Amino acid sequence: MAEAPVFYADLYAHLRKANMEMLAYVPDEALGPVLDAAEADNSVTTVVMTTEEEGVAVCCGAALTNKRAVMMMQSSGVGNCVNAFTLIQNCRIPFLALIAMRGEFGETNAWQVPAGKTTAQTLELAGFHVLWARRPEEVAQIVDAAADMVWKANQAVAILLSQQLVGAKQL
Amino acid sequence: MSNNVIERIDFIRDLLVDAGDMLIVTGIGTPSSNTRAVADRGLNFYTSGAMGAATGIGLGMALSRPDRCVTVITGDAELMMNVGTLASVAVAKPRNLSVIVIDNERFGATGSQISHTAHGVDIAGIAKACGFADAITVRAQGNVVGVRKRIHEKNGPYLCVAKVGPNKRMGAGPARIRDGVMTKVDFMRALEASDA
Repeated sequence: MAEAPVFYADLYAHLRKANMEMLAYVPDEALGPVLDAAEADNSVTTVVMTTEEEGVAVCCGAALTNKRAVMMMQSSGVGNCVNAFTLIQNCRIPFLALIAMRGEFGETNAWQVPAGKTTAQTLELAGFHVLWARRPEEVAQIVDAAADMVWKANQAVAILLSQQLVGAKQL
Repeated sequence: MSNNVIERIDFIRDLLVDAGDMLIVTGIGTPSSNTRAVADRGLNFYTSGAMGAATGIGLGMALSRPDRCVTVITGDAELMMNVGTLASVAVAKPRNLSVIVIDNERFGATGSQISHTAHGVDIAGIAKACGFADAITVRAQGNVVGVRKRIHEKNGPYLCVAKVGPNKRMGAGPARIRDGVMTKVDFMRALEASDA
């Protein structure tokens, strides 16, 4: 397997700098290096979910007990979460989602496109601030900004990793 | 109609008589209003929406606070909406998490339409197949003593389905308690106080 691009190390290091201690996830190839880093890290609990909406609930439960958790998923899972997102808004729970995009920049699978087209708007309608990461050199700054908004200002923030950054899967 | 005889509110009251510093999450609908009516306390986190989230919230709490017993009290339809969470709980294996399913075999809040469990779907069987440490179904009020003992043992994950009779209508409670931000603040303050 090829070495992961350098920005993944920045991404993980800055999540840890912000004291992330739990990572709930439905896996995605483009998020593999983040999961590998978390699984190798004794200070972080990883929790695999059957569907993304479970992860919303798990991260909210962690937040209510003062643990900083991140929900990691592919963009196609965002639609699964819409009802669960109401928990975040109703209770104003700090929430950070790390989302690898499908269905946008350079997509080759038409089936991914409809969900990819609606990801950012769905999140915004559900009350999230959406921060796009498109270039490797901006990843660390975006993670820092997101972490401040979430854990200092009690906001819901989604970091979208564009396929411009992580690469589009070639079918 | 079902022949279930457990009176749900009595079951919840007796289950929680010595809740101590246990963290409790309740599912949308009657489980939340019943628990609030008979055992209101700061360490209860009541949901009144986000159907299907109660067990996931309990899982997040249980993993984040392994020193505390965490108990989810929810309805059969609320749990079935995200039944996959039982698989995720079984994989994460939080020994301190218990899930109590108040199973009236109905979608109680929407007019008591027949739910999956009325047709034989066996939630305890699902939990067992997923890999819960222990999962049982109880049909008599007298069983509550053993269930109460079990939720304090931290030898889970544990699930108990309590087959209960039909809902008795109860008010939704004061608006202040239904408000999500107030619910969160009450819970987090109580947690902080109980840690002090």
